[in-house]
Amino acid sequence: MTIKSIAIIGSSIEAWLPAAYIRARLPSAYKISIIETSKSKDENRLIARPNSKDMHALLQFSEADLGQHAQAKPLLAATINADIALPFGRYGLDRDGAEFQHLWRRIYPDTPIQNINLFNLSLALQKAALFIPQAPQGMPSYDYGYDLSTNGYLSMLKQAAKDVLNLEAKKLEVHHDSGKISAIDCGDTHIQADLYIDATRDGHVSNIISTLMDNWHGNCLSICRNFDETDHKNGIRLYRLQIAMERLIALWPDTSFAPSELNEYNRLANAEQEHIRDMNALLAHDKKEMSNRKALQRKIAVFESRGRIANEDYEIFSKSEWIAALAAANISPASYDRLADRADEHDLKQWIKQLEQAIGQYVHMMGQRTIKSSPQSHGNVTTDGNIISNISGLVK
Amino acid sequence: MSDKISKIIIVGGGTAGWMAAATLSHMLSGLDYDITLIESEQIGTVGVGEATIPPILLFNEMLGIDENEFIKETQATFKLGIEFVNWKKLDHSYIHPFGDFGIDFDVRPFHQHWLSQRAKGMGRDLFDYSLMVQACHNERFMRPLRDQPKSALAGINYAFQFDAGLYAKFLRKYSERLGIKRIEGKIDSVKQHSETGFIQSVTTDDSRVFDGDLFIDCSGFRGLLIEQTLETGYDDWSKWLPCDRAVAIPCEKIAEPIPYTRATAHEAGWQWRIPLQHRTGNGHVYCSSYMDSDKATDILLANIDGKPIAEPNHLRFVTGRRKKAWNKNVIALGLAAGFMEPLESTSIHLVQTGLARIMSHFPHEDISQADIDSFNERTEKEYERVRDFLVLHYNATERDDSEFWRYCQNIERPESLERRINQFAEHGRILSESNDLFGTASWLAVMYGQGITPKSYDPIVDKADPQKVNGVMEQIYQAINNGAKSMPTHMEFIDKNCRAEIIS
Repeated sequence: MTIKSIAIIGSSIEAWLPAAYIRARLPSAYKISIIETSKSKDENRLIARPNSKDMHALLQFSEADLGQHAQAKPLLAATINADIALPFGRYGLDRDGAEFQHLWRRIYPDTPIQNINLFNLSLALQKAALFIPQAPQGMPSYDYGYDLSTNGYLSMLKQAAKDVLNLEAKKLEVHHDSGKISAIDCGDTHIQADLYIDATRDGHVSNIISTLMDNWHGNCLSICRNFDETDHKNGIRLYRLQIAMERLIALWPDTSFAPSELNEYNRLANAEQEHIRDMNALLAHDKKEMSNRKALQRKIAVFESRGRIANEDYEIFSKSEWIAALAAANISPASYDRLADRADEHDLKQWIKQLEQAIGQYVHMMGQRTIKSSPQSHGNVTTDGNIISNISGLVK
Repeated sequence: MSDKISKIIIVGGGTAGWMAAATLSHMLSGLDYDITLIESEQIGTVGVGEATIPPILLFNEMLGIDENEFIKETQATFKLGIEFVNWKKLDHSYIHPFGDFGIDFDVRPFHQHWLSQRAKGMGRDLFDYSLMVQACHNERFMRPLRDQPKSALAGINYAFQFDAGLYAKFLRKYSERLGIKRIEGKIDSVKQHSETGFIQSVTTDDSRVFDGDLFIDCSGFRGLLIEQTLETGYDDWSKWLPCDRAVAIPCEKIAEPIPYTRATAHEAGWQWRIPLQHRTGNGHVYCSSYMDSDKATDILLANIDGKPIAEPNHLRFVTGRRKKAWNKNVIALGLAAGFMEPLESTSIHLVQTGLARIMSHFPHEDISQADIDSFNERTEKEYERVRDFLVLHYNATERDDSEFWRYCQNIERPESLERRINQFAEHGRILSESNDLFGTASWLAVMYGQGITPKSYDPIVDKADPQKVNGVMEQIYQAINNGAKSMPTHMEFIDKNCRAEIIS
């Protein structure tokens, strides 16, 4: 039997993003209800990682819309704290088959690892409060995400969700039988649906029907039960919802809720969760937690050995983000990839110096131009929030 | 080990040895390395005909090899897929094509629309929507029109079928040009460091000693360094893939070569047929628990096209993989690293990806355990994924006409394969996994080809009007059909671009 009705339980972005996403992907014949739980205090700002662009295209959120309604500011890195930012762009340039961190390490074997950040253009621009949509040719490339107003973005999602039955949860009584939800009593109304999406951060609803930590049980899918405060800062809060929805659509069930498909969802979600936990442990520099995490230990060992970033299955974070996080934890490679020895040492040293200078000069030049071109701008995000169109004209 | 890695010894020629020599000589050019390959003409190589899969194009590109020259020198033909005869049941065949079925539309995979149409009694057979299958049936070939991305012919995906002996010679010439030293000699003894157990040198039977910092073991099944010396251990996968013998024999060609390999299932195994420009390679892979070598040879000889041009070459193997492909300062490649029957032409590919992994983990001043662990973990996963795909062919079958096939039907599937089959059997889902060698189209071709029929399909595709979907699918079919017809024949293409000299 086909799924015809979906009930989402939760609040804020966690509840409304699934509604908007499903509405964009599935025909309007699907009945969507949102049972809004208590509106706890939310963060004012929301980070959207670069890969949110696909979702925004699906939701028909243009950059101009995001600027106007969600006060979007472009973002070249996710700032974790005063010392750590995870860049959305590459470190330096590769050469002779070797990645930049190896070339740099060859020339500067004893320099503190954090100095490699000088070769990340996205970090340099972000630090200078500048934004240029695209790196010029011959410079380290990058992508960009957004820093959004949570409320503004929420309004956009609400509008995109269309025709949603929105109920306030005066109470939340979950009726269930044999591991499946039969109805939810939210005070004024009993809601019955084919599929329930638990968008509460503590997995309130799914915990009632199962003690297992998997995300999908029977007809109830929990999409944000493992929420961590760091997820706000590195953009994982939104990204996790996005991939939960992509995965749900890829495995869209019928009312038989085939175990093979639920298991697959849980397998992928669990793998993804482990990567997020690895990164969060590293960012927090939580030594006890770090030592308990096998994949993270392996990643650290491989990096310490020769500066390589071992890609894991279902990786969430980019190589650059891992380099930034490892550098922030003061984890340094003892050596480098042998291919970095291909270039003549003197020539390579000059090349690296030139690259450092070029990045510095470019950032300086863009700063000058921005100030001249747009005196009212804050960085180069204009006060009217119209972000990209104003800026792209600066690079000529 | 504290000195910089500078001396690399490759033990064994053959396909794996010379692929390693070519890659290392190319990738490490400009660096101060001394690379030596030791092989003995007294020791034969396993190579018969060799069939490949499309990633070989990347290998050639990486080495900067001119494709037409390579084809001429190895008597190669082009390959668009593999035909599986009698695998699902007797008198049935299907082609596992390189390249996609149809084209995805309406943000759902093509095959989901096809399943939906099929449930409504509409549409054509799945294989009608594959350009490569149509080209195989019509024995046609051309390279893809990459500059015309909207053309059906942009999606042509191919590999090669070539003479492995000639391929090794071709790569030898390439490697020697780049400074590889080749030593003719049979290794007689191996010296290990008394404390670390690292290999220090190998000595040939004429008492020449070759010191090395890193050893690439391409010595074949026996694993001269990785197993005979380091006793690394072997994971035996016979319970999943029970065939353990092969007999190979080339024969004269009696017709122009076709652009695909054929794998024909027999009573206790299967037979390969690899058509080259100058001859046809044949072999019978079988399970010795269900068939003796005489019968296997008789079956092979009864099912080859032309007159045999060599004596039958009998091989024994145990399917599985070395527990560690990299142990101490030895990295095993090819048959020394593991063996899986050439049902999906993965042997050369596994050498290729092993080499890519060596380059991405290449040791510098010393050999790091973290790099070894990372290398081995990735190798293990890759082998397991190939294993799963091979097991699928044997296990998903309606054949119960012999003890062997009844055994195969009851093979306990690896968990990872069980998961994929269940997902397909339910709603026809094929979810790509990271580092998958075989993509959606491959899994689809073989799961459907072997007779696994999904109970249903992705419910989301029903949002589209079935008549409109039918119209789109018919347009796709017409584009594919017309595209295939517009291609030159395989031999026309070879004659025009890369005809090899006739050799006996």
